[in-house]
Amino acid sequence: MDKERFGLKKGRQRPPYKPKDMHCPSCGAGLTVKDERSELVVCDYCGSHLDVSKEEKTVLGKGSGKKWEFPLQLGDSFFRKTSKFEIIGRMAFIEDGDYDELTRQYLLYNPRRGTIWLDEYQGQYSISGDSHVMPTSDPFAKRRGDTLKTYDKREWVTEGTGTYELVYVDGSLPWLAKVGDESDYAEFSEKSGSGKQYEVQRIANEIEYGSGETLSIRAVRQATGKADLGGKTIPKTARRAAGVGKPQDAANTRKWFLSIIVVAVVTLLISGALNLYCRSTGRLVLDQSFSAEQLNTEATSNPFDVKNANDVIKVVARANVSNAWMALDVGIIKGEDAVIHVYGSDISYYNGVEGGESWSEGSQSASTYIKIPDPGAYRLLVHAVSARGNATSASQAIHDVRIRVYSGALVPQFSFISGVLSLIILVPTSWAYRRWKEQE
Amino acid sequence: MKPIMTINCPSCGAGHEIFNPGVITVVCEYCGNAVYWDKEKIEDAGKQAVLPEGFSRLYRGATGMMFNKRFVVLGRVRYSFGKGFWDEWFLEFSDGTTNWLSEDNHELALEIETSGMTVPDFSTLSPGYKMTVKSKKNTITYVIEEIGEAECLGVEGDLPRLLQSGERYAYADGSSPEGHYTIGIEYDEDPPTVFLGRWLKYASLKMDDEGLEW
Repeated sequence: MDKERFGLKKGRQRPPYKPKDMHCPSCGAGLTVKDERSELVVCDYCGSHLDVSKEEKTVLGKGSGKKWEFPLQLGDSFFRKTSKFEIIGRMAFIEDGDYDELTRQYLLYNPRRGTIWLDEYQGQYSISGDSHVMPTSDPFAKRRGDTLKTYDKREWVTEGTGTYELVYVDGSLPWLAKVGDESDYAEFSEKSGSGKQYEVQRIANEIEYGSGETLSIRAVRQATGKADLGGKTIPKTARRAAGVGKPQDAANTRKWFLSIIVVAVVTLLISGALNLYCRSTGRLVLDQSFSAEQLNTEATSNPFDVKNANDVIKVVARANVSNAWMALDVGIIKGEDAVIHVYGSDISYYNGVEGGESWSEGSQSASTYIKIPDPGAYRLLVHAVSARGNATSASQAIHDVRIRVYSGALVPQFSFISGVLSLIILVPTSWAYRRWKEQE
Repeated sequence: MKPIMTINCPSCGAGHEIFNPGVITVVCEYCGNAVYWDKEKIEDAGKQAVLPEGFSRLYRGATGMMFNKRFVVLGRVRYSFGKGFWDEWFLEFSDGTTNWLSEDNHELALEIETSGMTVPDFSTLSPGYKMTVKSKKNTITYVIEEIGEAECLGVEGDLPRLLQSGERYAYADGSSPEGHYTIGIEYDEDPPTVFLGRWLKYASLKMDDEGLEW
């Protein structure tokens, strides 16, 4: 084998890149076609749409006549990975006939690297190229926030699906596009929040896949050298505070929602578990029942011990009330007769059957937490009145009550408050997440 | 080493040195006629269309490196699929082996002609059709992405078979769903010619002259 032929730069010299020159068959203006694959060229001068796919150029007609504003112009350079691309084509798409929902698309060309697409929607940019990676399920059946897997074992979050309508085109394109053309799209961002994107387009019976990534406005400004692109530059500190190093996409939004929901649910579960734990703590130091007769006079309980200063005692009163209520007054006595704390507790429990369904409200027990400043022996002073049915007042007790006292109990109010706060966060966040998913 | 043979163009008389024994056609770069030969004769296959150059990383005569092997581009065939075209670059590596490098919209796939494969009848194929190919190494499922009729738009350089402008045949192209492997079926003979290959990343191919300035 002649190794010389394979030596470094031993081959033929590279032929130069020469764009094709042509004249518009409609107005005669001189046009330059940068990409040999271009099939459609829109005349810069008369706006005619030209079919240049064959030797004989033909006029297909003119565009809509409406001029759209583009931040980037035909011929502008775009630098990517040290390669210079040039904008050779521009398109504008709308969805559902809404001209406020405009997507601008730029075709970037480099004769050695081919074509890539730069998309802009409401100041957010992304760049993409062809891909042959296929989805494992129907991408067009997805809704925003749904996940999609591709055969390269990556997972994506649906940005949106729908149908684009082409409303404007200029420059040159590698197919014969015409205003009014429609294409179904499904767009996804990587679930990991990497900013990578995946897209599927269906035009007639052809399905095309693309992959790319979001670009910050700053990156687009650097790539184009244009400082006046519009869009908002978020200060670095604000970006860091908001946790958005790159443009927000569905994956990041979904992650944000789910993170809050997960944190709220976990906090709720922990609060619940803590609450149960708090309720189960404490050493039983008194368990005594009081008859209705005893409650009618002020009854005194057996003594119980509180071992440590500032111990919390939990007093649980349980009355066998059914469709009845009890107003219970409890005093805590230290020593012989020093009342250190008095509180009232209402116990009511009503139940029945209505419309074939049973119902109940209230509870037959009530718990109260009291901090005892000093250790020592204590007793309870108990008095109650109770009544059945809808009576709003009573002068004596007609129900018994059982009272248990636990010493060294933990107060569950903090876990209760955190549980309520979790719910306050969880409910509107879940609602907002659902609304976000439903909005395309 | 010296060339294995020298072919003189029957049309203009220009001499062409042939180094690879797999080459049986050369397009004369002086007069544009395709010349092919066998053991007994050298024939003139007529004038070929001149293919545009300068719009790709590759070009006839280019040298470079792929998978740690030096290569030189011997020739090219350009096909139209109706809505556009693609190029098939014929490569010779420094170990004497040859491969086709398919280029469609600057996407490159390295392909090897595979014999002994049974493929579905063209009439049964449509985009989305799945077919599984078993080999000694692995089993790969391919999804047909495109079917159509290809027309040879032109040829240049040294080629391993006689190809001429205007030739038409049905074709089907596909990829493995994870985007690594390619299949190309040309319904030009019976049985059809099957090419199996893999998509190349940009960095997999290093040209001696990348032509980055343009």
